[in-house]
Amino acid sequence: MRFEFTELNDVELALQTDVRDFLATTLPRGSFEPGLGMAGRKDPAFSQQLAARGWVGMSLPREYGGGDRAAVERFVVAEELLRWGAPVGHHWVADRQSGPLLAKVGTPEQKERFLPAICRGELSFSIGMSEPDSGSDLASVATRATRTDGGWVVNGTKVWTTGAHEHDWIIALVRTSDAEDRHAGLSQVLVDLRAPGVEINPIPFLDGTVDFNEVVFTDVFVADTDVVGPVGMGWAQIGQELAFERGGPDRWLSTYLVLEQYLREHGDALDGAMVELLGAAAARFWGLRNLSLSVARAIDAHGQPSVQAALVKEMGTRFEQDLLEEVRRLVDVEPVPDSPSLFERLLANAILTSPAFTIRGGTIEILRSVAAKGLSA
Amino acid sequence: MTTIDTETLDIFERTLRRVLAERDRDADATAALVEIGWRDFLAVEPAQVIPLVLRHLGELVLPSTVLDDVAFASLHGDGAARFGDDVAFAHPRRGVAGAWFTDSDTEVSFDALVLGGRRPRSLVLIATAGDDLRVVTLSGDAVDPVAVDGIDSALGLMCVRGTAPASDVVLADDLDAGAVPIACRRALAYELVGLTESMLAMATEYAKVRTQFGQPIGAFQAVKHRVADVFVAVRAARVVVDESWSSDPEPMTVAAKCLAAGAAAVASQNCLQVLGAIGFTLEHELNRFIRRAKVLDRLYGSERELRGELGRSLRTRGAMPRPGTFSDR
Repeated sequence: MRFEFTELNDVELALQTDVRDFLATTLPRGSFEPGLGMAGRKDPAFSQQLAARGWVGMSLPREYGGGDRAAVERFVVAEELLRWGAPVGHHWVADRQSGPLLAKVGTPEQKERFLPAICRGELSFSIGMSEPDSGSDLASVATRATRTDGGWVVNGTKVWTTGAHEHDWIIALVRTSDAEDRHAGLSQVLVDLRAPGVEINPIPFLDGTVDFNEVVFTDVFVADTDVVGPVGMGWAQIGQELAFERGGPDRWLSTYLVLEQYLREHGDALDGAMVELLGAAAARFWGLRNLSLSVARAIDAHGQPSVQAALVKEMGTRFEQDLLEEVRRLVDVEPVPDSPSLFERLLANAILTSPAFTIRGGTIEILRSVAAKGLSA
Repeated sequence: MTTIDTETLDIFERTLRRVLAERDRDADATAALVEIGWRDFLAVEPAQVIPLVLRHLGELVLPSTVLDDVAFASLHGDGAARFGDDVAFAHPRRGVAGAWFTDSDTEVSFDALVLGGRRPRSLVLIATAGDDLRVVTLSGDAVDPVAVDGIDSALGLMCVRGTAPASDVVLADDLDAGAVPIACRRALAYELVGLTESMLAMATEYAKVRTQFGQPIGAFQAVKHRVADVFVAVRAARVVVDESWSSDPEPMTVAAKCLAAGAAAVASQNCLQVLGAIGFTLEHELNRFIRRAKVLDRLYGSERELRGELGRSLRTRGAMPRPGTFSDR
């Protein structure tokens, strides 16, 4: 298992400049409340503005409105948006993984139906993987799809579903057979989150905001045309999807803004311990950034860097939590969600939502095991 | 500058592996490296050979004085030839080795380390007056190296400490003193990465073959996680030290050495734990790696000092570095 060192080329650096210029003009600092990473606010109008620039659906095929751009180019755009705290919540999951999944294994009809709208920044998606009794052991999912005329009837419950209360569609991992090999019994299906039989129960975070949901399916009809990829191939498909989900900058840029704002507001009064913390953070940012970039480069080289992606996620989320814990220990302020200081608001937000960092996309315990498996291979 | 073709480099790497593999772990490897052309390659293609040679020295935990070559070459492409074999470099514990006082007619005080147990005819070091860095040559008469009975005697560390009068000091104003800490921190980062890779390999191998409770200990999650932590840390260090050749070398090499020393520290701790009691013994070679890593951490600034250095430059800038770059906002 390797991480090849890679750098941005001139074309990619020019794209980076374009995105920076766009953000500085369209969304100047101070004109909006920045969000932390992928938990940034949902703003369909902003998503559509980005889409008009060609920065949504970048990795999707051109014939469906995408950009046919490389994973590294998408990485560049994602990194700038996250670093700015831009309101990317509406299109994030669709752009990062649902779109690429459909482009890879979807039928021509599905591509026609979904990809252009994703690329316009219109459609939003949720990920239907975890269940109440299937967390880290994802292959044990029990949501069941039963054969019926022209399709399937789905019953079961998904949980920790980010954004389901506001999103349009969910791609759910369901059990379509009781094959002895439990992996072979899994398939992925598209479900309209407003279809009859879909019940969405928000699960408030410890700060009272809602991002996670429970999604209950009761006799929900899924047409054959809404099965994603061949029946029985769900397990293989999510392996690849998780590589998109885990390796990107979402996993290590959530707390960048907190530190940056701290420097802006308190830079003059930094003491020794805080100076060391900042230095350590900068060094680890560089490490993560380069590892993450090398995952994107490996995807472009048609690699399947799923172990590397798991490692980036594991290291990134742990880094972010450690960092917040240290900041909280060293900084003598009350983190108040409605403080007049942006730093204090961001810190409050980060402290209250950071426990989720090490859970979404696979708990760190599971990711370390994935990583260790790669080591011994 | 001429470049070396891939084939020549491949031959060099193969020769390097073969020659170093035969070395005694307590014997200085420098002469063997010079014989296979290390200094010639260093003069023309430092970015190719420094990673290769320093990583190998780390992986095999071989003592050498190649850090002197790296320092001299950063001042002059053909450093070693220009300075000669009886000249040693005095390496600082922190960023600089000495201070000079212009008001007392270039008297220089110094506190540094010489590698390889040498008592050189003259000594080159980097000294500072405020923010100004200078290359200083001291006559051997002005220094009295004292052997350090440290935790890693194979390195032959000699401590040089004192004050040299103006008559024994030559300031070389035409040389870029700032290049030395950059080059040496980078080289040390590669050596630390090499040490860590070897410790990781030992622990991974042991976790596969050591059986307890009827299964290889690597099957237990607690053991797997210790190994995975080392892997992640060393890979992050590696990509940053690689990047330091191309962008913002000053902060990047500080970050690289900081990460590499951190990875080596995690490896020292975790691999020792995975290996169990045998890791504590002189019989097992892990102890050599742990001791070497601790000494290399101290040269040109420890992990902690380097964190502080990076943090201070961030405070001066008043902003976090943008991804991939430090100099712009």
